Amino acid sequence: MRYRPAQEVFSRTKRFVSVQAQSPGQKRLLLTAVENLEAQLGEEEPLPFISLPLAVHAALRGEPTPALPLAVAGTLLFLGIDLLDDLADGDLPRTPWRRFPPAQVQLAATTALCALAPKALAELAAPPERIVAMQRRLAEGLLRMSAGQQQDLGFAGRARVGAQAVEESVAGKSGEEIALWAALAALLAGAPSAQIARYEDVGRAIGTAGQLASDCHDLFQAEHSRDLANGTRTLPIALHLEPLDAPARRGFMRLLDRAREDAAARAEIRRLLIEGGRLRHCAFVVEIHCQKALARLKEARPLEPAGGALREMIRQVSFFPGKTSKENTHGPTENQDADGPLDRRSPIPAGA
Amino acid sequence: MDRWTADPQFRRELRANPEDAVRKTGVELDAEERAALRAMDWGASDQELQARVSKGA
Repeated sequence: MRYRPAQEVFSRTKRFVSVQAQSPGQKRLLLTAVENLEAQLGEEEPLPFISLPLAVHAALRGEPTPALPLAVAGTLLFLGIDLLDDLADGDLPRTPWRRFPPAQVQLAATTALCALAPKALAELAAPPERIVAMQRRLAEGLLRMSAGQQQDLGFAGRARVGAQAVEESVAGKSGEEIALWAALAALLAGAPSAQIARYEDVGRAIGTAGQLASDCHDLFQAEHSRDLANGTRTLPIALHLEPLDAPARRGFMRLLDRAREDAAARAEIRRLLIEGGRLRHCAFVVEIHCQKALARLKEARPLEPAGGALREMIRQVSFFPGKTSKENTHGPTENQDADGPLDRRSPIPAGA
Repeated sequence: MDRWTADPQFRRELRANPEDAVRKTGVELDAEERAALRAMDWGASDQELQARVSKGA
């Protein structure tokens, strides 16, 4: 039977939530949230908030298993962020949430983020100073993601949105989210600070490329574009708006307003963006971030087969997976990074 | 990228030799940008590109 880490992590997450819940009502609410997330994501593999911390830990230490409890924390973080996103976009699915008022859904999200994820970190089998470093990094990561989200929210419905600013907000939100998981895994593994930074950069690049690719999927592939419906200014839209003169911008803005509810307007936007080369431009930007991820991963000299798993994650985001993987090389079987060999016999103090 | 849309000659040059074509424009790229330039399939049509869009991470 094929090993499915996601299945194991969700089982652990449900057990953790069941133990931590302070009342039957809280347990029902939180388990509903976790079970709904598991059902939504279904058979998808790899899930970045599970696969990335496992792979980064294995890249540094040679085995992923000690990072399984960390993946529980990652799942709870993702759950909280996902619920808050759905609430902000008005996208909360009716099943199962019609049984709960929106305020309780918000409570589930904040409880997962602010209580359960930090509690999961606190209970890791790791030296206390390493856990403190991870708690600090979690707080910093959430602050950065909050700033990125605030910037993103400020773009909605605007006529003037710079493409570079949009790309920076994606990096600040989605890039920082994946960077956080990579950093926590590297901290748990007791990696030196330079290696933590490398894996953070790998995570940041994967997260940024992944979100940009997802935004392209929403605009150019999805049957119903949530971003057009919500007035979200993603990179293809920003690239198109930027060079327009005032009359053309006003015309395109009217089209964007109609596209919130009109399928024909959405189809017209898709056509204009493709003809204007915006999809190709975005594909190039995604590829730049994929190459950044590969370059930093190569510098990190990951142990195999975890290095291969990380390269595969990058490959899956790229529009050109066959050519993206050309640069990869196989790493060592012992970690020989520039900071010296990683001593597997004793934990290395965080920040060394 | 604007030249890709507006300049058919540049499109042909980019498809034939992406790095040379960009070098001629005077634009300087860093290592990752050059790697991305090489990794792109400049011969893919817009429809082929659209079919490749992934769901992301």
